[in-house]
Amino acid sequence: MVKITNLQKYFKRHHVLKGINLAIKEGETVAIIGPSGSGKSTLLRCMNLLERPSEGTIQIGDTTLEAHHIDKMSLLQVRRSTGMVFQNYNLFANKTSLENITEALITVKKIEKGEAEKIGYALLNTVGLGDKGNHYPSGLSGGQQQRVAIARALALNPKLMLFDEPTSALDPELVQEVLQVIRNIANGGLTTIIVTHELEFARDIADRIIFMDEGLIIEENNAKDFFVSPQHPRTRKFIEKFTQQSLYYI
Amino acid sequence: MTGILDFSYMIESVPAIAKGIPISLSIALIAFIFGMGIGLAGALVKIYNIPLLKQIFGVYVSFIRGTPLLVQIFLSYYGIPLIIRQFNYLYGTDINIAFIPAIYFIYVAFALNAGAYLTETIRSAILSVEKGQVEASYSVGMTTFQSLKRIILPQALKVGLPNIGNHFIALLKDTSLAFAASVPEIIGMAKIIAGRTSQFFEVYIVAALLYWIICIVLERIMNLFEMRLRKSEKGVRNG
Repeated sequence: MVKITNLQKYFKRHHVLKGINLAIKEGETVAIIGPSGSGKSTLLRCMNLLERPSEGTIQIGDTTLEAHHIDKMSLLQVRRSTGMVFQNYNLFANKTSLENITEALITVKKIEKGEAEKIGYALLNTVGLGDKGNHYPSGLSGGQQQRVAIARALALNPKLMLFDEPTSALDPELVQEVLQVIRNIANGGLTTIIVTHELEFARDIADRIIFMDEGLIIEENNAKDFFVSPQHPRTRKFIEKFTQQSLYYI
Repeated sequence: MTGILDFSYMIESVPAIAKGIPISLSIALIAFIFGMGIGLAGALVKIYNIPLLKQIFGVYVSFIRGTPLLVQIFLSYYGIPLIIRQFNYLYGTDINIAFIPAIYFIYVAFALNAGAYLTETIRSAILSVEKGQVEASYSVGMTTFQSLKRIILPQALKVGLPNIGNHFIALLKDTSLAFAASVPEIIGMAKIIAGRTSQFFEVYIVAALLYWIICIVLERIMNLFEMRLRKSEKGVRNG
């Protein structure tokens, strides 16, 4: 489904991704974790080309992209077959939640408006917001906005869902409703990659955990073994900090 | 005659001065429409960093902002005929300069002037739209053009409308400079009428009141536009 070979990214002189190799199978749920500034978001954003890779190859489904020759058609094709959910929701402020979902169906897929609205309402129902179709983003809570954003990402029927810290901007009491929606998607068999700081959630839903630090994948393992017996010292330190934190919470 | 003002003369002179209103409005409106086109093009050139065009627009905006409108009117009024003459000479065309009404040179000067100021206004309005929304539109596979048309520009318009409206009002008041190219707009008409009776003060008061009324009407119209555009801030769409 996804195959990334020697992916590198520079921001000017700053070397953010230093050679990422990663393969993800169809239907797999992968969580990417790691400290801030480790390049996890950049890696995710390279997968739908919101960031242009500096070196390497990315293969998404049937489309292969070489860092140095990305043509406009394959760029659009990749974006249209992946759904992206952002940390700050990024809903279109001038459109209602229904219109946020139907926008791409109408402009990109050229689906007729009535048909698009049917799909839109169905998706709103899946994220539990069937009665909020007429609301503008300014009239929704953060959790509701993020659920609309998820519905928008699902509208084009993507083969791959990318979540970029989807709950980091949310008030704590709103996190669960969003995580539940994501859990349903991942369990439904859609290939899902999620960058998150919610380690507990990552352990719950992910088939595989990837730990990144300083632009490299330090360790990857299935969710259970990853947390029980981390191999690399840096991973261990990171997880220790996390378990200590949860002790404080108790 | 006693008192400062001759009111009956003022009222009598209104219809004659008001004949200048359509001309003033046409200058403002045409300059505004073309100015918006130039301004949008300039803003996009600057934002998308298009080489060469960016430098050209930079010099253009700097020149217009750095010189008085009156001078720009003179340059257009005296310069364009020379350019047309040279064009006739080089390409053997036969455009008769004497038959081009002066108001066309005014249109050019005002459109270029408005375009420069609107470039900056539109640019800042576009930049005020959250970058995240632009990314989101790309992430669902929209092209740059679709994203501009459907997401960015509608929101930029809402942000920019008060400033754009102010530009239009300023533009309308600046049309009073067109008399310098002997175009009979409001002030042009006022000068002609006052010249006959020498009652300059009365006539200019009438002219001032006419400008004021037009501007009040324009402000009202602008407020209505703004209210319509602000519907997405209410949270819920009615009906």
